[in-house]
Amino acid sequence: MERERLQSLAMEYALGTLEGSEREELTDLIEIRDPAALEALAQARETVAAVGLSAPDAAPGPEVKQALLARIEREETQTVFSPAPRRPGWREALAWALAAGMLVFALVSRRQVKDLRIVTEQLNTRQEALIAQRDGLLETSDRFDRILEILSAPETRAVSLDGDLRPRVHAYWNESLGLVLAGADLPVPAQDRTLQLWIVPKQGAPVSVDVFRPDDAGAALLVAQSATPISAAAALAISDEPAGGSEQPTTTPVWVGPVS
Amino acid sequence: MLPYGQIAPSDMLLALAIPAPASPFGSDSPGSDSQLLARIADDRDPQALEALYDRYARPVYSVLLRVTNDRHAADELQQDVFLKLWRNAQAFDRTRATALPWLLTLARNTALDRVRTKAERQRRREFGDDETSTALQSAQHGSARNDEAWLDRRRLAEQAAQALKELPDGQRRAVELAYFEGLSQTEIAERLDAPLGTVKSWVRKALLRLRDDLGGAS
Repeated sequence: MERERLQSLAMEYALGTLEGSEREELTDLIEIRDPAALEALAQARETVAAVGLSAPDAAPGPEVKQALLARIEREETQTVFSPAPRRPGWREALAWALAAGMLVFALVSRRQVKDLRIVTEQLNTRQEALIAQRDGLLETSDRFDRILEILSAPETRAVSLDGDLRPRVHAYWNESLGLVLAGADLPVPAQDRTLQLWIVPKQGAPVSVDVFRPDDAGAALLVAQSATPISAAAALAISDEPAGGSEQPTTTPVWVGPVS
Repeated sequence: MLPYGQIAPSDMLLALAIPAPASPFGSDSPGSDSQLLARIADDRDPQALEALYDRYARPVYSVLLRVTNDRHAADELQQDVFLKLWRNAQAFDRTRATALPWLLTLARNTALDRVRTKAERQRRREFGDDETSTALQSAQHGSARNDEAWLDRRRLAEQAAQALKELPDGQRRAVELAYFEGLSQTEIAERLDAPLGTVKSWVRKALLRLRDDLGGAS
């Protein structure tokens, strides 16, 4: 491709306005990591990013930075210590206050102390449940952030997996970010069975990606990572396997989708 | 076409693996950004992130506020952008001179993702220009910054603003609508009541001219 045209397409791509066959033409070059296309894209991103500098100068308040650093500290703490340690909060303060109160009540009534101890234990139990709930929500949030990243990346490949008399399953595969598999109204396998996603390479045996089970409503959302390059894959397939999965498919795949 | 296929926060992951070309952003003192990013990636050093935040908080925030027109959203997204930097610092190509283009791309895409919801769009239509100007004015803190790096960025920002200003009106508006509102060329054509072919020509010419004008900015 002529250099000037390549640069022009790359800048439109970076701006987000490149469409249709021209977009496909450029993404094909990016996918095969054509050096000229990658260099043009890098330059284009810097040119387009400079447009952002034309925005009116504005500064965040100091509280934004403080909140950011607090989030990072919290994230690091959770990374180093898993599960997340309990952090002092108003519930814990309340528990301590109640504990202190118990000492006072001990002078008055042993019965009252006993009652307060029960209340304290209930509060602690409730606190632990809330912490677990919060950790679960954070995990879900991170998972959906990753899905959004995969779905929104331009180099992500969409693959439709078809099967006889069954709903279609959709996969979105990004070589560097991972693979998202989504389906609805899927048949739920028996308790001792599971569904298993495979990459069928152009040469060689199928490679297992992950096992999954649709929920009771038949919905499935799998996020997985694969080391297999997209260019080496001929198809994605899903088979019904014994619980825990198999090293190689033991049944005929229920869904198959070519990776074009 | 994939959802949000044209704007990809993760585009940066690909871009980061590309050798650094001549940059309109110029070059920082040797390795400064890359050293800080290495400290984040390798040592999980929050002080390194703080240093990058101090260096680039304003341009990033300016883009967030310009795109969202919402100070509260910009505050929240500012944290998200730098949190993504914290989580993905290892993906940055350390041979590149500066992290600013990466951060601005990330800021723009993060902000566009936010305003793409119907409710956000509706709210922006209702409160539109008044809130924009109020939010922008209230955010333009007059803190007296005169360090060299900041002045360099302001100089480049002024050049970028001037380069945009010098574009013919149609070209300038088309680029601004694409960059700050994430509109497709079809949407731009509808917004500006211009033929699609004309809009395509505007965008292409504008980008080439910006490249030529800003390429020598360093």
